[in-house]
Amino acid sequence: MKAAHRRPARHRPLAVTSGLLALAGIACMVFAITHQQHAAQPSSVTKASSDRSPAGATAGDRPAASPTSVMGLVLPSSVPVIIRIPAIGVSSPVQLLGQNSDGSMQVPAPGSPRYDQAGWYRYSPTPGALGPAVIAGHLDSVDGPSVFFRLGSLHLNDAVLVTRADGSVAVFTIDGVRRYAKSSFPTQLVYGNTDHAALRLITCGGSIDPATGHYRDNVVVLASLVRVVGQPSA
Amino acid sequence: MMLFAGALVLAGLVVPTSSAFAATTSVGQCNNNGPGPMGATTAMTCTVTVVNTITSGTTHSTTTLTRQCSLGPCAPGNGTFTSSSTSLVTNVNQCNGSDNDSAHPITCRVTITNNISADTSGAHPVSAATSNQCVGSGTGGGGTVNCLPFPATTTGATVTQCNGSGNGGGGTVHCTVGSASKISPAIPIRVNQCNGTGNPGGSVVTCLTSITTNITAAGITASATPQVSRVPTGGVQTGNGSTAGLQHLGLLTAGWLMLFAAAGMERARRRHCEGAELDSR
Repeated sequence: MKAAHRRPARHRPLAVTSGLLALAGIACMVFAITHQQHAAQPSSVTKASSDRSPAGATAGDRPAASPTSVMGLVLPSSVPVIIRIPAIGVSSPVQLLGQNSDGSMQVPAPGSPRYDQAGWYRYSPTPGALGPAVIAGHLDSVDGPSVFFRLGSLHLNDAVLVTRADGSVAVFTIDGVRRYAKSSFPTQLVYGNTDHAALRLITCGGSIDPATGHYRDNVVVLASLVRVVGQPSA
Repeated sequence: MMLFAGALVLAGLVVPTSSAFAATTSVGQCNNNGPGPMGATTAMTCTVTVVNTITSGTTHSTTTLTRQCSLGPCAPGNGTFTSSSTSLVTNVNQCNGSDNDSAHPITCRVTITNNISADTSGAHPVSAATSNQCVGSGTGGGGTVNCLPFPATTTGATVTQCNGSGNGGGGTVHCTVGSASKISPAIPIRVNQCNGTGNPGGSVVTCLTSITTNITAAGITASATPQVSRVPTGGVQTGNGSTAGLQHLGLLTAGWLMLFAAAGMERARRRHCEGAELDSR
């Protein structure tokens, strides 16, 4: 009887250890599953060819002829320094982006301390000036979501505020949020001339193409200047 | 349309004029119809609709002329015609010296809309259109004069209409200048219509003029240069892919290993217990 009573006590530490290990394992798995993050995506991929071109735009890969008139407020040129999108909690310095040697748009460089910052395409108009100002940002990085991770969840009339080097803040409202396959990127819609001060925000979207390791789509947000806060300084 | 505008100029209906502000044009319609070389008149409705636009120093006008006859054939030139021009239409002459051969109704209407960008020189001040109308009209026995505003005798008025008209016995004159009519110095409008018209007994002269002037937000002229000076090729590679698939894979693996280890330990403990019980027996 004595021996029978001692056996459970001798094996109790092992039972406690395995129980704790099981609990820890379950906790790890629950945490990992509940903390999955996936970028919001606009409803569906839009074919670029069916999209409405901006004013004056024509088919092709070059900018269209300029429109004959200009609508609404237009500001003098001044480079952007900060972009804020309150609806998705974005507040980021803006860096300058150029072109890669293959003619594609540069993006914030991997490994760079500014990888998670937005960037203004310096061959486009400055935000608030006549034409489509283009600002791009990464969807994610090796560490998880990046600056434009939630771009696809924006809605019509959400505000985008761009602080410019001249001290003024150009306030845009969103006209559309769309997703396009990169293979049919809407060049004219994004880069074609407009008859107003426009803004284009670009990030990745859709699923990963295992062959290239890149996302298959781009999310494009279209916005228009509605007002300016503060006077542009000379 | 350009051919039509050219034809109107040749016919003396559209006459280029000059202005200190911009090239301007006159439009004429339904003048001097009967009696005379243009033939006898019939009941007639004539309308002139003009839209003048000034944006950032560029001018444009669209003119629509319509003539309809209801009691018999008109002289040639019936129907609706539209023309466009870079000149502004500032003078409209319509239905003067017409319908004087027999008693007919004649209805004439001028509608002018001016859209002027705020940065146009002389856009302001916008003021009410002035009138000179129904002077010496409806003097025949039993005539009726129904004019608004009345009396209206401004010299050099914006609208001069229905003077010396409807003077036959029982003649009727209905003439109106829209009360909200406004003009801007940038487009010096002059309308002359229905003067010396409808004088046989029993004629009915109905003429209306309306002038709307809108001062629009200032615009700027876009340059011919493409706004994006270098168009990138293809899409934009803005992602690493870390959020596209399963994340926290390490944590998931660790959790799975812990569960596996816990199961192994439990199995070993039970086996050990069973062995110990057998030994004790």
